[in-house]
Amino acid sequence: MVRDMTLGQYLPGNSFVHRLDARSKILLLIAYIVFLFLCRNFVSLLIMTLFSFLIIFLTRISFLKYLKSLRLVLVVIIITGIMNIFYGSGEVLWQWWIFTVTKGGLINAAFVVVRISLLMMISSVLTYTTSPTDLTDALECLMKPLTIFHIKVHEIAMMMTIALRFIPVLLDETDKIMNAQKSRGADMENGSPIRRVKALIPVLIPLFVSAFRRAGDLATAMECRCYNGGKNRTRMKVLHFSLRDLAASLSSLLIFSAIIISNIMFSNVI
Amino acid sequence: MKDFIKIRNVFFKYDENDDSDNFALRGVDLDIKKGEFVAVVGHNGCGKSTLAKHLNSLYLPTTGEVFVNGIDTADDDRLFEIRKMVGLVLQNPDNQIVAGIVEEDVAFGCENLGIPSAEIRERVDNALKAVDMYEYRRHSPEKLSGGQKQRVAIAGIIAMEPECIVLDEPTAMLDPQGREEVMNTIRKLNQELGITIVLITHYMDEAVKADRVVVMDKGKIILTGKPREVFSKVEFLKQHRLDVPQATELIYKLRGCGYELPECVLDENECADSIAILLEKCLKPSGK
Repeated sequence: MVRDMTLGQYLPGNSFVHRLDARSKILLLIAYIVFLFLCRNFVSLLIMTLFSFLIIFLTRISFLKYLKSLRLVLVVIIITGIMNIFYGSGEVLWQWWIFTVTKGGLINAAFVVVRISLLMMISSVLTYTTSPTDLTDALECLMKPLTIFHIKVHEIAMMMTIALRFIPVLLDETDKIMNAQKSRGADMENGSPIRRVKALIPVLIPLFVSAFRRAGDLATAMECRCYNGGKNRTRMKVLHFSLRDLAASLSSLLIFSAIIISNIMFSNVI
Repeated sequence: MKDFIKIRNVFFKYDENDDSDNFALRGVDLDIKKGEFVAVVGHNGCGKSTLAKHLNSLYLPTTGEVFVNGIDTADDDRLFEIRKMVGLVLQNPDNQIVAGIVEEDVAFGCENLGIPSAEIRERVDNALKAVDMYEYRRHSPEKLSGGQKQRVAIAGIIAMEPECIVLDEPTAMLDPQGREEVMNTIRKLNQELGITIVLITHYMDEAVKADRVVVMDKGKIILTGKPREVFSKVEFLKQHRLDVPQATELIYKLRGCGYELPECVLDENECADSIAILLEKCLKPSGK
């Protein structure tokens, strides 16, 4: 069950997107999200969708992987989709008791579903194509200006590296502890929600104990390898902004302008 | 050969404020030569892991001194110099891998030392080749087997180009195949790269492969010598609740039953050979 989680998983490869600088990928993702929510009619949404599929195609990663990432938020997509159908104005298409389906509602629902799906898939592009270290290095670099506010950027980046590294380890451990408790007769699937939450306590306590033990070991291992908090640290892979990044940024810029233009030219439905 | 590590009358207790006689180490004296392969054995709680952590100044002696290549481990200014020379590999391979990609984890130590990027790349590649994990360099550690993870951890230390590697029960959490992979790697590093190895273990079959075996009990070194010398003292080891390799034990028991066998054998091959010789001797008179 917990094994199926694909969020935050890196799939090594050598595609155009893989080789982009992690910093440009992060900045482009932020811009992408902003413009995704600026799409206000079907034409701009269509442009955005085609653009997204182009990006996904360029990663050379099976589309199934992206569908898998959608599965995590499937419930959210369905619930927000349904809610949106009933909230809206305009021409009434169907009515029963307190439920009213309007044309505006349907359009809203369609937009929300497409937006969340694209958002999830394109965010997955970032994590699928960027190694965790590159990702945290890039964040460290992008957050560097914050050091003037005495924010410990290196420490935050290091914590993220370790967190990403240990998510699968701890998930595995959770599975093991759950099985161990089940084999001792713990019942985690039946009973009221409160009982089920209570049944998790014997899982969480050993998990915490083991996490602290791991943290102690890891600290020792890091000390053995001369870690001293990022002072005078060098990098094996130096991030650099290349022509490839320039090309990606310019073409994204082109798409984003197309969205603004289509927003102006066509009547907005949302 | 020159003594690389000198341990002089080291006493150690975990809690400095504890006035009782709770010492984890009680007067340890040990010299380790450059290029030597030393195995430290002893049962749980005998102080062997505590001793390992003294070698790269993770722990400092309560009294006594430890010198690495002539540097006192208590010298705070030269801490990184010592840790660069003496690498430590821990028991649990999962807990000592920092980064989410094999090659990036191997680079971690070099990055901390402030080595230029191009040289790190070279060192990482060489280290991964030395432990036969080069083709896995782009993998994520959680997809590797225990033995492979432990080899990655060893590569992370080798990349720092240490003169000595201390391994604290590196095979305790591995399956037989992983154990063999790690042991082969350790021996290769010792023989081909001339790296001094201190192997802490409770598997006697592993200790047999060392140049010298150090036996510890209750915070003291009780016996030291070549594997053959140490494991011939089966009685003495048993008194201290220690095992001997299975082959040694079998021959010891057969000798106890009055069979004429060599005093000490160390592995299965020697054991089989000596039994074969014995059988031939027994069969010859009756065959005539």
